[in-house]
Amino acid sequence: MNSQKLPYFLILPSIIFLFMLTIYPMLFALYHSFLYWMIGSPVRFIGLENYINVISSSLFQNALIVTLKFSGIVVAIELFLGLITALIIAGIRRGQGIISAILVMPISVAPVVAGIIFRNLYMKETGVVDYLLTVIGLPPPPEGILGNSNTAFLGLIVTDVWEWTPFIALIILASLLSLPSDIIEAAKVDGASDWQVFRYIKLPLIKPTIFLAAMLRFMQAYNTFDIVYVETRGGPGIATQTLSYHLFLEGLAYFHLGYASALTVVVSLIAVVLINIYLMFTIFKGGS
Amino acid sequence: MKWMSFIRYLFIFIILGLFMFPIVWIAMLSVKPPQYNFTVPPTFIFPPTLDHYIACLITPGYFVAPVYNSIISSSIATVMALAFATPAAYAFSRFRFRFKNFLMGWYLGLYLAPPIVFLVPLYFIMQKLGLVGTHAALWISYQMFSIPLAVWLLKNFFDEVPKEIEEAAMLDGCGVLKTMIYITLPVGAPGLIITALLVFVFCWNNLLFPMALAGRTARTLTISTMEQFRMIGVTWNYIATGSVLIMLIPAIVFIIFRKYLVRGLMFGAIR
Repeated sequence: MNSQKLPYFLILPSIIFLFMLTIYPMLFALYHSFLYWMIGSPVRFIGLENYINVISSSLFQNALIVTLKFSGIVVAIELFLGLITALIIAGIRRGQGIISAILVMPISVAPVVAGIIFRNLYMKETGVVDYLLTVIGLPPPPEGILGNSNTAFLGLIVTDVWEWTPFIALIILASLLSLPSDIIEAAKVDGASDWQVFRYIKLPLIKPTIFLAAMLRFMQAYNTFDIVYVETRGGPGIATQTLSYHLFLEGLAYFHLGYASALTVVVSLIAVVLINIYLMFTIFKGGS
Repeated sequence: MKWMSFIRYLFIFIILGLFMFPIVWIAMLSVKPPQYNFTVPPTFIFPPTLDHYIACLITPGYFVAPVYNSIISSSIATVMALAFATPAAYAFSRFRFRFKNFLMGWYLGLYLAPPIVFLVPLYFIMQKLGLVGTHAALWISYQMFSIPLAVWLLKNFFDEVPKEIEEAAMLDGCGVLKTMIYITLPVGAPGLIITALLVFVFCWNNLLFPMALAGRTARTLTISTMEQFRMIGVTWNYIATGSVLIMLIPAIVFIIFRKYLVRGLMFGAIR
């Protein structure tokens, strides 16, 4: 075994395994996306018809908009709250260990459990959130928080923000604490205010980390399934149907194999674009 | 200056309270006598009871079998993922070769892709193979995210094992593979253990894969907890009990290893 080939030899088993697990299903989907496939009628080749059906389907368009809107909003809120949280924690001297131990807990909660918890909190009339909203004089909709299109969407956003803001906060905290302290001290000696130190020294230095965290979260939000399944089932109507949930319904509940296969390909292509943008800024950065 | 830091601590207290409340609430629900469940305003002080835990334990099929399924499928998946990922991570950490970045990007891409796009076709394939409803369907399909996750976490740990130790071993006549097995792996053992625990947690927390592939026979704890919603008169106390059981192991693992977690889950974005 010469050492030129050794790395490939070490990687090969996992590559072969993952190929069977992912590329083969993808080819399976690609093949079936060109076929007409209904129980009780013969299978036949129909070209791009499934793709045209997907693109022109109002369900798909709705799911795409819901998904992008959801992802954009949660990322913006999580960045804002995460940054503030990190800045406050970075400013204290004692207790950072225990604070991060508590902050990490929402991240450890399985998304399905996060969904369960908030479904309970949002319960009509008897839920804690309904009660709190009534107390502060903002009565929730009579059909319940998860029964109204707008508040159901908001409810999912709050669930995601609750689970992932600590993640953003801990990332930003880690990069704040690793900043070179001599530069900051020097700026303070020169009479820079706290705000100036943040705006002109800290923020530019942590910006790349914030940017990458945002993209990572956007992709994860693009995949959102569990909390939708638990809290709203895409409802009321189709108001909270994400792409993942739409695909789940078409493929594994209604068994529309042709449509679902074409949808699989379309959803994957969007994911591939997002993932490649992320990779461009991380491991492909500057070659090496 | 004194009151500034007082305000900081007050803010932190409020933030932590907000993040902790949902977890505390569901934990309380799991030890609440049912008559306190749906009171307005909500009840925070009540005589706690372990009845729901006992009921879940003694009712056949409620939680014992699913916990068993979860542990078995997640453990096998973890062992497999490490077996595949360890050599790959070692190669990524120690060698320069063509397509290295491309391959690492491919692993990461698989981890970040929406799992449902693989699951729909995989369901039909597994069905043909007669695997739906078995543990194998779960631990095989879990590799989709487990191997990439393990490769990336392990690579970070191997990067921290000093090269000098390996060079000394090689000077003494050890081959590359021998050096990896006898020198790097023992030194990197803590990293292997942490990686194993994190992979286990991600399998354990999963809902979508067992939903598609476990059928009734291999259903995991996440599935059986969700099933409670279909019972006549939703039994929120049992759902809360299941939720607490799901949360327990991940919370402990994440709290202990939080230092590695944040960096590890950024996949090379923080250097």
